[in-house]
Amino acid sequence: MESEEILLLKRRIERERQSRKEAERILEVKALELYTANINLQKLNEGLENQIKNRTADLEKSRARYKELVESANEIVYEVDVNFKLVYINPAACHLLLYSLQDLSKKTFLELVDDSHKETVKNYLIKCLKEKTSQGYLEFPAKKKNGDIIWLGQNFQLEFKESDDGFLTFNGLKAMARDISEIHSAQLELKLNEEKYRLIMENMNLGFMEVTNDGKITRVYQALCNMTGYNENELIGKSAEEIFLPDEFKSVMHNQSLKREQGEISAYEVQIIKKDGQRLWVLISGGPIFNQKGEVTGSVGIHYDISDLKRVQTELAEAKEVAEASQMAEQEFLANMSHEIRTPLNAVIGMAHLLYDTNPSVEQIEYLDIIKNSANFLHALISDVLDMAKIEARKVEIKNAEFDIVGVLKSIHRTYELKSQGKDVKLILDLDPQIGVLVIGDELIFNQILNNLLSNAEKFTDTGYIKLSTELNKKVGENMYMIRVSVEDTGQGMDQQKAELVFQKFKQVHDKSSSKTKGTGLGLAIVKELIELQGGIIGLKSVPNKGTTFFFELPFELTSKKINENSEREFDEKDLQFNNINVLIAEDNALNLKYLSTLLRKWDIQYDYASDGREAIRISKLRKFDLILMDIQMPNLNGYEATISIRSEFGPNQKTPIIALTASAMVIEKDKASDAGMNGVLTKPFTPDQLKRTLNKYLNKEIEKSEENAENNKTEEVLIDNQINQAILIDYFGRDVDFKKVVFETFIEEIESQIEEFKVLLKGKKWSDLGELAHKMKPSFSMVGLQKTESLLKGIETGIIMGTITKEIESQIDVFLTNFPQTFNLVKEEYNNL
Amino acid sequence: MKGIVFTEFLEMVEEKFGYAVVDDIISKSELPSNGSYTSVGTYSSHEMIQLVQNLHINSGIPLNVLYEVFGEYLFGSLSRAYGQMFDGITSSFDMFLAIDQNIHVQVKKLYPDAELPRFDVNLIDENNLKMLYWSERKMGDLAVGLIKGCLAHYKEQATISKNLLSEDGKSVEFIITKTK
Repeated sequence: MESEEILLLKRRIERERQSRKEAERILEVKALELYTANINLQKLNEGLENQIKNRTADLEKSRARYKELVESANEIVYEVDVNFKLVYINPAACHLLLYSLQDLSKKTFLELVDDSHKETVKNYLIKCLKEKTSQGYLEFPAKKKNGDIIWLGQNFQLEFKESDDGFLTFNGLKAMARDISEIHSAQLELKLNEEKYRLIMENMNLGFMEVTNDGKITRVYQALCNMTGYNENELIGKSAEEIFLPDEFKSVMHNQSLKREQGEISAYEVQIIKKDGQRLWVLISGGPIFNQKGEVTGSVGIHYDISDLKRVQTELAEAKEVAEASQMAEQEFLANMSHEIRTPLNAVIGMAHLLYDTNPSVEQIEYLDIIKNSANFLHALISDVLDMAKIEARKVEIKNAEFDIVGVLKSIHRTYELKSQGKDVKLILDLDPQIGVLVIGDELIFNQILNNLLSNAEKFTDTGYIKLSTELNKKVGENMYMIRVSVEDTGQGMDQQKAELVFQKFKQVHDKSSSKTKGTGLGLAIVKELIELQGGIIGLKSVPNKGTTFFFELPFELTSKKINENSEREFDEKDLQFNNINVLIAEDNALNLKYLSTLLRKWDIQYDYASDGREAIRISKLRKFDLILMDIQMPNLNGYEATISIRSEFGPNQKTPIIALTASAMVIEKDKASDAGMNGVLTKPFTPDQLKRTLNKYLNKEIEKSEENAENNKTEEVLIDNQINQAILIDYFGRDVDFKKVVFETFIEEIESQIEEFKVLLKGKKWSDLGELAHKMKPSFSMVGLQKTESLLKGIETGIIMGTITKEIESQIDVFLTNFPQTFNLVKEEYNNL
Repeated sequence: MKGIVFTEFLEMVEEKFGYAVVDDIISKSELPSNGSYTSVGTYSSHEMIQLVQNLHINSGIPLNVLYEVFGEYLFGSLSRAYGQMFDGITSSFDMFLAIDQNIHVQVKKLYPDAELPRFDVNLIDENNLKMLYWSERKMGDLAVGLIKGCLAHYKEQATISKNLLSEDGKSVEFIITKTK
């Protein structure tokens, strides 16, 4: 029993012991775990501490770095607290604002803002606070300690914290401000500049418009809106071409667009359509717009309203038309006035001529000379003015007809030869033998040109010679040749400067005080116009004190008709006589009629007269006339009408020569006269000689044998050589003295025997042989410079050939023989000086 | 199974039946621990099943009654041993809701090797609570005892209905309805 209980107890104790041991074991395990855990915890702790230490050190470094950065920054960095009191500000602030840190610490942020912007800055901040904006930027001027202004651009950051009731409240502000004074002033300047140029453009009313390459409007300025009546919104995005451009200008714009794409700048004038439909003339100056890559992205056009300009242009054009029309009217008036001017002038000149025949006293002759010369000068003057008026009115027509150019040249040569008598000037004619046929051209104009040039040469040449020469020049077409004519003189000449002026209107290059420069100054200008009108050219060469050569070239058509050597130009006008001639004068002016009738009576010509065109026709039907002198401007029917009537109706005078008497300037009247069927024109006023020559030309009658003594005396005077003509000698021999010697020797050896033979023949009245001898001797006299004697012999020869020995021929022979010893002495003198 | 369950069970058997019965059931069971338990140790639940089985043979008291009674006894012991865990828990329902969410979490921290039953506790209304129980050890009756011990601890009265959700007794549903 007891042992059972003891066993139970033992088992129980054993279990308890085992339980304790197990519990101890578990505790040991747990204690070890705890220890290990503790050790690990301790290690972890140490690691953490190190980490914290390192982190703190890093933080400190980074803080120092940021502090350094902030302290050394050029920008102002600062921080304010909830009351806007400065908590921190960096040294840059002192530098920029010139305040010490101590000064700044006492200031609020707003105190530093310039008064002008305080309100703006304050309102901005209030707005940020209200809207809880956390970041902002503001530019404002701040006041430095010295009062200067500095512009700051400030970035700032507002801090807000959440309060207990969940609202955000302001908790301070951090900001960074940068000095933007330079940028600001640059911007300001830019703005001012922009404003300045914009104002200029607006004030100048230059309308600016920018368009894309497609022509879409991207920008317009107010001035353009004002100009066109559109507002900006109506234009942006529209096609400029569609909105502004009338159809007829689209091609212009298209060409401009192509230029713009090439990067070219150009200006052009177009019309544009305004909003109200009206048109506006604008000058557009367009240029391309480039992007940064240099590509053309569009163009800018500056539009300038040129409506006024255009209107002025139009008005000017109209004014010009009016002026031109009135000029034309003036010229027509001038041309028409010629009759009115020339008729009384004609009378003055004519009457003066008649007065010479009334046995005037020496004093009266002097007065008459003055009247005659003045009237002639006035006549020349008026002719020039009227010619120029005609040329300028383009009323000069070139009348091409067959004429004997050689005859004209010989005739004018002769005229000036006579004019130069008494002067030591030899007139030389040098004809190109190639010109031996009639040419087609305007004879009258050719004659006028030659007259002008020769009268000029004659006027300015006192000694030496005047040489008129022609030359057949280059061929310019079928039978067309340029004929070159030159007039060379040994006159006073002129320098280059003056030479350039001679063809200008109203320019007289010589000394005004000189009596030689009388005239309009139009002569050479007229010549130039007349030559150029025919497709010719004119020029001159001149050396002061040596002489001048004018030369011109005119185109002429050469015909195949040979010039008749025996044409009437060979006779001497002075020796004309008319027998049994009947002339009809149609003239309404009593003075002119008186002049004409007096002259005709003097020449024993019978005449009848009509006082107007109608009467002229009536009388012309009654009987045959040899010639009709027809005034143009007459009442009832004028001269042209009367002529046409006479020519077209069968009657005794259908083919009678009719000469127009016109006071009008030459060319056009001549044309009209010819068209009407007239045979010639005599321009009033005319001299008795001119009338006589004309009458002879158309009547072709024999030379009158007897002449008045007065005229004989005159001839005698003219035909005596007082000296040897040196110009001719130079012409013949030049510097060839040997040749000259031979010629003179021959002359001296042979002439005396010829003179003896001449006297024998005269005694025996062997006229025919005498004539032949005169002919034979002629060249000898010419070769030794005795031109007048040569002419004298020529007159004798011609007279004898005519078949009737007149008193005049006998007188000429007498003059020749009487003067021979004297002239022979001249030759011998010249020879001895060689 | 935690050692405290064994030490409290043997304490209860010795209290009710004397150490001879304790010695008897230990001796008749095949126990790897030889019946020497410490509350901080952990032992196989098979040892508990054998001990309860042998007590049933020894005393003739039905197994479910033994488990239930032990459950009631164990709750009292646990409340005394781990009183700090009861802080802030003022009613049985709070305790039931705290078991899986709170108490077992704490237990696992202290004893990572503890094999704990799983509970899913849902409050139906203020007087009704549904508790789902899963355990390999099929100790639903022990759970009933613990529930009763808890109700007694908070001096509450409630009916406990027990429904087997699986025949092997591994999954059980309890509906606890407060009666007062």
